[in-house]
Amino acid sequence: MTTDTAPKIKIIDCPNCGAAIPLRALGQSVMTVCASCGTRLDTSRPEIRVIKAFRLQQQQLHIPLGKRGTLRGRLFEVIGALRRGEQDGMWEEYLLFNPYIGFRWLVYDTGHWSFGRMVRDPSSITTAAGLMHYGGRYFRLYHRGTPQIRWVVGEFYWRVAVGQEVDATDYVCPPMILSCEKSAGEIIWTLLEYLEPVEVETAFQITSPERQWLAANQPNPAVRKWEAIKPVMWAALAALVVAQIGTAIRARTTTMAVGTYDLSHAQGEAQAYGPFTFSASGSMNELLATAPLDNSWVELQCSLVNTVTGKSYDFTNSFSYYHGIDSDGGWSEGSTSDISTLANVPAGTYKLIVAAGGQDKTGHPPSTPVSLSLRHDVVPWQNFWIGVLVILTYPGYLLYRRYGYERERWSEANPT
Amino acid sequence: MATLTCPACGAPVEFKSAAPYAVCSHCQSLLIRRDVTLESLGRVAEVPEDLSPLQLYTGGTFEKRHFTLIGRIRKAWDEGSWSEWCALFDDQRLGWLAEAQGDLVMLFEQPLSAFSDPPTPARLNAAARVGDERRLDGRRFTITDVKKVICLGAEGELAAGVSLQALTSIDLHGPGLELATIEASSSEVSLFMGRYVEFEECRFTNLRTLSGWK
Repeated sequence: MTTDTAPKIKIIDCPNCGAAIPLRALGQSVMTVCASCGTRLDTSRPEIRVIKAFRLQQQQLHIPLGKRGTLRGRLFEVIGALRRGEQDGMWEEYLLFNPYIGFRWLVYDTGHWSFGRMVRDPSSITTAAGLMHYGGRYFRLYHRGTPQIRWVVGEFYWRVAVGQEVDATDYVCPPMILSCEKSAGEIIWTLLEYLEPVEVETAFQITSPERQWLAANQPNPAVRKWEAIKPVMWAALAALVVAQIGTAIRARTTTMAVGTYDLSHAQGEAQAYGPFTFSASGSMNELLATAPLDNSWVELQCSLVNTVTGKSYDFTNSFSYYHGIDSDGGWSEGSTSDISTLANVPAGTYKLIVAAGGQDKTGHPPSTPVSLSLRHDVVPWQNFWIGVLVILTYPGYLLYRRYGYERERWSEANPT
Repeated sequence: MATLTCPACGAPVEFKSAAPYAVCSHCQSLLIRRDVTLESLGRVAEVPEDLSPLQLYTGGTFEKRHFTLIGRIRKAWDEGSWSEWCALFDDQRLGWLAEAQGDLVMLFEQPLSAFSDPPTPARLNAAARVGDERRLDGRRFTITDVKKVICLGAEGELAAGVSLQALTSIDLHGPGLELATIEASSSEVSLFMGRYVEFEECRFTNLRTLSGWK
């Protein structure tokens, strides 16, 4: 509810050059800089006083004084603007005002925009492990400098003058910057959030120059994508784990002793073992072959043959083990066992036919027999791990991109 | 509610509260209540024009309690000025809603026993420094600002008198959004404590229309 006593914006004449100066935040601002001549006027008292007459160098702003725009759903008017500079660059700070909201900052730097508000609870800012903690975020030191005000125009809520310097420190947690400005007897903290240039272009009907470099608080696009796919990734992994647990619960893993194959006597001969009863249908099965090899190799040609249908599953199981001593000391390679996997075997009765060969260093078959055992209806893991790998590929790529982007961001940092 | 007569100009002066002071809207005399009569303490200036959305009899809410703005003092220091609105709560309690640099702060006067070490005006005027810490009501506050303030103008009913001389005003930041202000004249010390409030949080009614703003 409002009454009808709508006040008009007060307009004063510049005592120095006579230009009309609108007071857009009367009663809230304390000074204004005449846009025509740059004279600084005290607006905190009913009688406007000249603080300092000046000759203003006219400069173009990206958003003109008096322009209104809606940012983050709220209407603001540009009432003041200043340029600050350091050795390595210059940026613009626009003071925005809405009498129902108060003041906000819009900072422009080489194509990038940030929207800021003074921190009103600086006692909530704490240091933790070299980082600044505020509002649930951890900010890392990005830049320290002593920027100087180079140019100023319009209305402000404190006394601004060209040449003023502050000790400024920026802490970054994209898309936010926590900025600390220290001057004589005063510490002011400001929290700034990155705005996409199109937001400012739409709000104030301007054309923002192309972005250059990477801004300190520019959001990492990989982070956004990562956040978007994270629930999908977790859901897919959970589904895979649930399916695997189901498979594991159903599997009735049974071990069946098969026997031995004596290479020194039966080299190359086909020997039959079994019959074995495979109770589970479409099961996964393993043949484990073991022999205490000593600088020799073994190869087993195996067939699992269904005693009713005659259908045969052929596979090879081979292993070798060599060891010795050289100039680097003892060495060994290979293994004294091998596991062959047979997937999707129907239920039924099977015989195992094995024909094995092998050689040691002397060219003779290994003297020790090969022990064989079958494991029926084991839990398959390979597909599970392939699934995990597939699910993690894109997130992994995003994390890699995220890391590269952050490295570029922090390579620009100057935390001295 | 009481209607008294301005001893300076004879105009009626309405009181909605039990506030001890008021400014006559007719002749700008600062008045103090003496039982059923008023005594004039001198003239104060009118509040200068500003673009505040608040006005006399704007209603609002603070921590679920309703208040009405019944008076205002405009204060200034060397480099700026701000408004302090006297807020009358429905339970007759009085508070101050400070409006400065686009921020709102609700403050209540506290007994000096809130100081862990109650200061004398002389000591305060001599010793307060930006960055110093004070324990108030058992909590730690840091001095952020020390300045000499004067009154630029006043209107309505006021919980505290308008000092016609300059005061020392000390602003302190407490935990979170808490703030405190100590005001010291040459003879008196007052303590106000409270916190920042958001414009939306106050759910104001009877606001002033500001052309082109919403």
